Parts: sequence; C-alpha cells; structure tokens
Amino acid sequence: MRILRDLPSFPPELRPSVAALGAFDGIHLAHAKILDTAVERARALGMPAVACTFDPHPAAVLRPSLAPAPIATLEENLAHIAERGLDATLVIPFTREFSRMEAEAFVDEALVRVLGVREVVVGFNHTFGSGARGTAVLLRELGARHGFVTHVLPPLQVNGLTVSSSAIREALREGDVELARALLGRPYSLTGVVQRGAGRGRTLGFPTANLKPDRPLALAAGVYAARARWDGKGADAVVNVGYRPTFAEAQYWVEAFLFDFSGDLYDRSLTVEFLCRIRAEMKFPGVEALKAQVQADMEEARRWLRTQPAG
Amino acid sequence: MSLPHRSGILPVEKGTGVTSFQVVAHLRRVLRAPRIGHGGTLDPAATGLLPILIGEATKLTPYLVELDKEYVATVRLGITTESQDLSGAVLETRTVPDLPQAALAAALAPFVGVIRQLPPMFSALHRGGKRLYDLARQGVEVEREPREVTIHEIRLESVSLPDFVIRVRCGKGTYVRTLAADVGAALGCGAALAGLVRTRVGPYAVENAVSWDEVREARSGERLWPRLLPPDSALAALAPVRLDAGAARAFAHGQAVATGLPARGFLRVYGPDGALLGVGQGLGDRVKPERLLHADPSRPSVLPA
Repeated sequence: MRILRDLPSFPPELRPSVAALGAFDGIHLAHAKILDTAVERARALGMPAVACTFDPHPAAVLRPSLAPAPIATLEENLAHIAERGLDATLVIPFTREFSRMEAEAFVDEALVRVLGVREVVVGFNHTFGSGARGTAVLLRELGARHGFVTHVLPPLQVNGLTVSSSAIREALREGDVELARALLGRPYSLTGVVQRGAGRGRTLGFPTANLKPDRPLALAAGVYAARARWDGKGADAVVNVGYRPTFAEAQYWVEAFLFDFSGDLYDRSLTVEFLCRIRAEMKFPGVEALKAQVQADMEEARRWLRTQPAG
Repeated sequence: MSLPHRSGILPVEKGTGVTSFQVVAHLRRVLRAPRIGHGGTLDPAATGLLPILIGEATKLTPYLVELDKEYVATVRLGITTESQDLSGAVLETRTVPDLPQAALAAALAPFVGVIRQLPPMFSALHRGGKRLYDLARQGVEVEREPREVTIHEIRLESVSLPDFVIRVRCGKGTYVRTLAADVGAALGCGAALAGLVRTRVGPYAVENAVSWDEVREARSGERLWPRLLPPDSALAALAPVRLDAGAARAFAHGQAVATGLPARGFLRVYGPDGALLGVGQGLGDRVKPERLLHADPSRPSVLPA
C-alpha cells in the first residue's frame, strides 16, 4: 500500500479513485466495513481504493486538553488499513489552519481535485470541515454537484453496542479489554521496547519484561491476562499496567511476566495483547503482601488463559 | 434615485450549489425589481440556463414553462439511488456491463417520443397539499400517477463507462433524472443522474446567458439591464398579429377585436407602433385578450410585428 503524507504528494495515477474517509483511529469493525466497502466498489469500477485520513487525530489538535489518548499509533492504523486491501492511504497533516477549511472547500480541493473521487464511503456519524459542518447529508449534496456517489454506512452493532472509537476508548478507560476486543475485532495491544528496569521483579522472584510504551496510556491501570509477541514468537503473560504505586514512581510502565519463558528480551520490540483484566491497580502494605498478590494474579491469569484457544 | 420600470427576460447561467430561488432573491435586490421570477426550477446541483422574468414579463411565466428545453446530462451506470441523482442514499450497486456505444444508443431509442414517466418521490410536485420531497424525507412513499412527457431527441454525446453523456431535447415536465434511472433499469444495471446542464429553454441558449459570477458580483443593475431581452422573446413560438390604433385600444381594454386574419390558438399581439400588447386567443377572424402587458415604450420589439 502506498502512503502519501500530504495532499500535494498524491500522484495522478491514483485518480480517479474510490475513497474511504474517516479519522480511523484503531481500525475497528465499523472502520473495517468502511474500508472493505471502498475496496469492493473500487474493484467493481476498476480504480484504486484510497483511505483518506488525518494525523494527528483532529481532536488532539482542536481540544488537546479533552482529547483522549489514541487507541493506536498511526503506523498500526496504516498496517491495519493495508490488511484490508487498500491501494493507498492519504494522511493529511491535521493542523489548526487545516481545521478552518470549510467543508465545501475540503470536498472541492481534497476529494475532487486531489483524489478525483468517483465514490466516497463514510460512516453515518463522520463529520469534516470547519466547525464539523460537513456531514453525510452535506457530502451527498456536494456529491450531486461534483458527480461522485456517497455511500453512508449505517451504525454497526456488536452485543447491542454501536461500534465507535469513543466506545472503545471508554471500554479501555474502564479496563474492559474484552469489550474493546469485541468492538475492535482483535485484542487491544501495546508495543514497546523492552528496557532495563530497576530489576525489582527479579529480586521479587518474578523476572519481568519492562516495556517503554510508544504512546500515551489509553488503558486503565491494573493487571491483565495477555499474550506477548516478539520476533514471530509468542507466550502467555500476566501484565501489570500502571504507575506502580507501591514504589511511589509517577511514570507509567508496562511489566510483562511471560509464562514458560526464560531468556533475554532487552532492546527487543514486544507487543502485548490484552485479553482479560484480572484486577485493578492497588497499593500494598509491604513487599510480602505484594509477592502473595502477584502469585495469586499469575494463577488467575493462567486459569483464564487456559480457557482460551491457543494463540 | 428612481429607476425606470423595465421588463424583460434575463437569461442567467446558474452556478452549482445555488438554488434557483437564491438567484432570483439576489437579482431582486440588485435590480431593485419587485416583480421578478424564474422560468422553471433547476436543481441546486444542476447548472445552466435559468431564464429570469422581470417586471411585466413575469406575466409570461405560463408561456415560458411550456417551452421545450435542452439538457446535457451525465448518467452514471451501475448505481440506483433514492433520489435518482447522486444526492440521495444508494439503494443498490451493480456491475456495469461492457456496453458498446451501439448498445447504449439502442437502449436510448425507446425513450424518444411521447413516453410515460413516474415522477420521482424526491420532486417538487404536490400531493394532498404537501411537496413529495417533504413526504419522501418523512419516509412516506406516495402512489404516483405516471405522467406523459415528450422527448424529442436523445443524442449520445460521449461514453466513458460507467458514465455516458446525452443531449436531451424534451417538452414540459420531463424529469431527466427519471429518464436516467429508467435507462439504467432498461439496461439491467441501474443508473443515476451524475451531472446536469440545461443548455436551452425555448429560444434562449446558455451561450448567451449572463454568468452566475457576473450576477453574483453585480452591486447594481448597470451591467445587467443592457443584457435584458424584450418580453416578446418568450413568445417567439406564437404567430404575431398587428392591430391598428383603434383595435389596439379596445384590446388593451379587454375586448375581443377583429383582425381580418383567420387564426386559432395563442397569438402575440402588437399595437400599431410595434409595442407588445400581450397574448391573445385567436377566435377565427377575431382575437380575444388572454394576458395583457402594460406598454414599455422605451423597449422596442426585436421580433417582426
């Protein structure tokens, strides 16, 4: 999949196109449906399927103090978009200046002139342009003027819930990684480089891989049953996410204890897929109490992981 | 400052995204013309000729809407929408067969002549005091009667599948988007109107129209008044009759007068000086006033009286 980092770099050979338009954070089941529809229409018309998205997430620019932590990094999102078979993704740098562009101008300049869209696929609740005036209804109206078809996909429900990035962020804030997984269509994951920690895990008798995550924390602190992956290998794990209140450190950290594994993972990139929350973060009166709890957490995580098909 | 009362027809090329009503509202302000209207709505997405009737000429609206129209329409195959154009929800998508130009032309042929059209749900027609498009928005599907319309000619201008472009010359009340949808249905893959330009209304052509940019930027009528065409330009299809001074006076007072020429149907009636008096109904060798216009001596006729 080709990745274009701004409007001027969009090559003419990708015109005309069918575009999937969205903020695409996390690439959940509803995003997948939008992307798949664009690919299907593009194949039917014999033209490229292009995802059109923004970086950073518009909310992070418009309401930085209120903006939630993103579900995934741009690189992860692009990888998931590529998996759906799109030919290219245009990542428009989202700036304050860009945010002032009127909806009509965005359609005219980006979608019509640059992408040469013949068809556009959006979710029912997508908005664009200054003041979020651009809605699916306006997009259809503009499509009639510019000669493109607008496919507006209806809400997608899973377990009676509408799939949306905000529902997933809320689930993650609550630590409900099972719900997040149901809405995403795959487990929520974090990736980071394994760092040398204080070595406390080792002294406690549980050597852990300490991750320096590559993004702000979207997940509630606590202990999770997880699957760790690195270099094409994998292991079940129990993972502690949090600020490690017992040792009075402010930094957020991810520690993974890998079952049935011994070896050196330092400086490797490790991905942790969160499967089930074992308990919330808590403070312990002393090291012995902590040790006992860690033992209990590991047993609980193991028990839970045994009920799952092997990853 | 007092402006002269002027009347006539201003052919305007409507821009995209502007409603016909907005064009009229803008011109009413700029020309300070209290009586002003347009001769047949163009959808907001459509462009092309929108004749504007000003002053006494507004009385000729019923004759203008009767005139034949010509459109250049882009039809998108393989897609069926609720509104029959691209402004509505997509109902169905289908694979577009690889149609040779001859097959397309053959599919268009049966639509020439007097045909029956089912007016679209998304149309300005009224049913029970409500506009069909308002009912459509509420999700109400109304039983509609097919209407007879006349299509004089359909010319296939270009093909670039899934699109093709046709030039359609048709009579009053024809829905081009319904034509597009019906052609799509006949081809089996569905179709929707993807672009529409009105190129002619009766004697008026888009090439001679004032562009929407000129209209929009005008702050006064200075540049626009000279572009006005006289009222009788809207009546070019009617036979002319010239009355002498006495008959003209009686006609202007609403009386049927003798013409000495046998004529039936609508006539455009002139006074002895060549000024348009109005439209008359021919009753053998007499003519009865149908619609009277007040004289506008500063504006000579362009048509032979």
